[in-house]
Parts: sequence; structure tokens; C-alpha cells
Amino acid sequence: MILTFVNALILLFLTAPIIVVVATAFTTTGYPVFPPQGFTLKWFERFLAMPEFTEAVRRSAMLALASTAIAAVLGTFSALALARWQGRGQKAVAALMLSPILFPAIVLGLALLVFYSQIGLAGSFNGLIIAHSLITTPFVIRLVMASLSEFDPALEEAARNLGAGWWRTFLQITLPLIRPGVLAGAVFAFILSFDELVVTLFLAGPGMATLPVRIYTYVEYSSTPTISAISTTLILAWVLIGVPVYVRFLSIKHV
Amino acid sequence: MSMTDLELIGLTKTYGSGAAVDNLNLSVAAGELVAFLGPSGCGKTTTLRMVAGFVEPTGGTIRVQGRDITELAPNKRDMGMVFQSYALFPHMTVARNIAFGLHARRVRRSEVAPRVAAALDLVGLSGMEDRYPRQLSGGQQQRVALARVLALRPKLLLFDEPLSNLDAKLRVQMRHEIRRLQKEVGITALFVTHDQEEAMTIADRIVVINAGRIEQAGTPAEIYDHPTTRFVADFIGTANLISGTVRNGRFRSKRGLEFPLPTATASSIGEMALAIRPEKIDIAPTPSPGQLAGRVTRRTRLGSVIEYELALASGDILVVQEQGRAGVDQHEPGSTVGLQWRREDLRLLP
Repeated sequence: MILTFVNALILLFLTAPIIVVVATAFTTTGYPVFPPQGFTLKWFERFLAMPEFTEAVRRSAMLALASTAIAAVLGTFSALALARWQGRGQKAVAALMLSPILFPAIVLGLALLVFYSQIGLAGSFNGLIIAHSLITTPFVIRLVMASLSEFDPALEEAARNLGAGWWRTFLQITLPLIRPGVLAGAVFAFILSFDELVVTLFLAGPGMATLPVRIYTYVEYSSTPTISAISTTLILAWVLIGVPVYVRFLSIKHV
Repeated sequence: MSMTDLELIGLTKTYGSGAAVDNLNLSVAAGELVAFLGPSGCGKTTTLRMVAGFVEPTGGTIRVQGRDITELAPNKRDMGMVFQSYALFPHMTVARNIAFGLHARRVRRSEVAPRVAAALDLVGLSGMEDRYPRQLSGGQQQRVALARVLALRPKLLLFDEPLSNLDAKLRVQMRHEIRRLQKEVGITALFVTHDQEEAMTIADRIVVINAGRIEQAGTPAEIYDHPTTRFVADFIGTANLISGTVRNGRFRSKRGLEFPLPTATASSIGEMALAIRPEKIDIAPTPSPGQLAGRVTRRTRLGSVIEYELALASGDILVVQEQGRAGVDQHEPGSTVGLQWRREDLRLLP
């Protein structure tokens, strides 16, 4: 009883901002108010009519997809290597590989800017992809390692013993069994990259603003409910795409 | 002498400073089932894993049917291993588990299904093709693991404590089953176990391993009746081990007890141990004159057998086992009984 009540409170606490943002997207006033006044879809029309925003959504999606693909591959293989490595130094290297999680984004952004200027990657889209992969790979490593901790290494030995080479063993035995971790890592990486602001602010060249950068610069001089409309669209996209993926592949029941 | 199928020559594995397997030499004849028996950490599993190719030997050679395979990758060795955890692929049905190895070895597609069916038939699991491993009992999973390797008709079967996760009744049943199947297919097999009863039941030959070395190799009867070291006498079954010295043709225990030496014993001198099995000692309710006497200090019922612990006047302790049949007198703790044995049941061990 008490637990149900506490749960309800926590749920309210977590969803309140979302409820407010979604509600304000439909207000007829020229600025976000809660509760909203009247009902209109004009802020959504406004959003879709602003090419700098639709272009930013497309760019952010491209960036997130590319860096997620890189992070998923690198993270999975790093996790496999770390999990198999029994020797000395394993813990130290694991900690080092996970350290970007603990690094302040602003420091990372500055460091990358200096480094990129040296090697000529500054202001390029490829540089952004690399930076986002760097930020997201540790999360993939972490989640795949969690999956691997429940993986019986004898299964790989059995596959090898039955005559399978390394590649067949990986594709048919290891990968299907650690898939929940890889997918969870990829979903996490995608969201992180799509949402990334600080490092991107440092590295994005002219005409390369991602959606978070666009929103950030927009709210500096404007406070129309267009921002609420954009946020509501993103929330809707998550509910329609992200949640089914989550339930299908990552729910505890399925593992 | 039948053909040699597997040869281990000077096989050694060292970790850091210690040797897990130390200069091990062994020949296994074609069709033979050899059990590696020893306490945990003795190197028996490491040896098996070197044969399978999962552990790289520090030194020595492994030959299968005359061919040196020491450097060969595990997937090229053509061996079938049954794991302690069975290692069935949880995301595949029974049929796909068995077909996995056939596909990996590029067996023709038209041949896969019949061979899967034949393997399942061999282990008595026909009709289970579409089940998943988690839907099977432990015993059934064990059989699938067996079918999976038998379907490949490998050169060598490797068993890594395959019965230790089964309950006692099923374990005993599967021992006979594995032995029957191994003889039926005629494939040479290595069987790792720490259970001496299991080794005795299943193996043609037992290799007792201790601290990375072979203590003794021989048939189960040889190992039990003619142990050559104290370790083997003590590890296989139970044995009363009395240390002492041999002098003037008699054995004298450290506590001063004297025994006539067993027949057919070389006249070795110096520190020795005298071994006698608990069931080879007879107890008389009262000691007759001149007979060795002992006081009952403990009586334990072990199923069909009653075990006594007897304290001798010298202070030596002997363990004796008797069949607990109806009509056989039981000896009360505290009472004094007479002891005797046949001289040829004594073993003098270095």
C-alpha cells in the first residue's frame, strides 16, 4: 500500500516535466503556459515549416545512426576482449575504457577541439561522428559486459569443439546470446548521441548544427511554444518507435 | 596389442611457477575408455582441455592416430567433448543443437536430418527434435549433449565430469549408459572425474593423477587391489595406512605394533606404509589367545555396511567394515574384539 503510494509519487515526479511540455505545445498563447489555453496545432506547423529545424533533425539522426553503428561494433568487441582477458591489468584497462563516462563533457569537448585542430578534423562531420562514438562506446561496453557475465564460456568452447571457426561461433552462438546487451547499448548510444549538446557545440562547423544545438541557440532569443512542439514530436517518436523496441528486445521477460 | 589412438608425450602445463600438469605420458588404445581420476586441482581437467585444444601446452606432444595435433586449432581436431554444464545452445532446438556441428563440418544438407535423427535415436530421445534445452530435464540435456558429439562420429570422445550435475540415481544410470554407447560406437574416450566409484564403473583403465603427475594407471581391479602408492591406496576406496619401518623381515609401526610382512613382498628396507582395506579385516566377538585385540571406539551404519573404528593397544587406529546382514553380531562401542586378516591382503607401499 505504502509502496504503491510511493511509486505513484515517483512516477508523477518523473513524468511531470513531460506532461507540462506536451501540454504547452498545444496552447494558443504566444509563449508556453501551463495549463495551456485553448487548443491549436499551429506550433507543430511552425516547426515543420522551419527548414533549419527539419534539417537539424535529419542531421542529428544521421549523426546518431553513424556513431551508434560504430559504438555498437567497437563496444561489443571491446567487451568481448575485456570479458575474456583473465590476465593482470584487465581491471585497469576496463576502467580506462569506461572512463569517458566519468569525464566532464565540457573538458572532453575542449580536448577534442584542440586535438582536431592539430589533425585537421575540426569542423568536419566525420569529426562529429568520431566524437559521438567516443562518448557512446563506453555505454555499449558496459551493457554488453553485463550480458556476457551471464554467458557460459563453455558454449563457445562447445561450438569450437563441434568444428565451428571463430566467425561462425561468434555469429551463431555468442552474438545471439548477448543480443539484449548489444541492443540495449545501441539504443542507449542512439539516445545519447541524438541528445548530445556540449561536445557538439565545440566541434560542429558552420552549417552543421544538430537539433540540440539548434534548440539551444533558438531558446536564447525566442520563447514560442515551437520548442514544446519539437519536444512533443520527439517524445511521440520515442513512444512509437523506442518503446516497442524496448519491450520486444530488452524487457526482462525476454532475456 | 591394439592400435594406439591417442598418445600424450611429456605433456606439461605450467602456470606462473607451478606445474598444473607435469611431464605426463600416456598411450590410449583404440576403442579404450580411460578415466582420469584425481582430487580437484590435480591437473586432470587441464590435461583434457589440452587434448581438446582449449589450453596450450607449455611442453610435450599430443598425437592422435599417429598425427601430431599439438598446434592444431580446437575446431580442426575432430573430437567430441561433453561438458560438465552440457553447454547446449539455449537459443537452439535439440535438432539444431545436434545439426550445428554437422553444418560446421560441411556435411551435405541432405545428410544432416538423417544423422540428427539417428543420433537422437541412439540416446533414446526420438521425437524431442523441436524442444528447447530449458524444456528438458538434466538427464535429457545430458543425452542431447551426447547425441550432439556422437552425430559427428569424432576420432575421440572427451568427457569433462559430465555426470556431476545429475542426482545420485540418474548418475549411476548414466554411467552404464555412457559406457554402453561408447562401446557401441567404438570411439576412444577420455573421461575426467573425481568420483572413484564412477571411474571404477565406467572405465577400462583408470589413470590416477595427483599434483599434475600420474600416480598409477591400470584396470579398476589393479588400482583397487594393487595400489602402488599411499596416495592411490587412500584415494581409491578407503584404506588403513600404518606407517613404519621394515626390519628383519617384519613390519614395525611407529607405535610399536609388529606385523608379519605380506607374501610376495620384496625385502625393502626403510620408511614404508602398510595398507589394508577395511573390508578385508575380520572381527571376532572376543579375541582368542594370541590374537590382535582392539576396542570399538565408534560404530557407523553406512547403508548396507557397518563401519567400526577400533583402537589397538599400541594406539594405532584401524577402520573395519562388515556387511550388516541380519543374524550377524554387531559389536558394541566400548567392547573389545579380536582382529584377523589374511596376510596376502596386506600391501606394503613406499
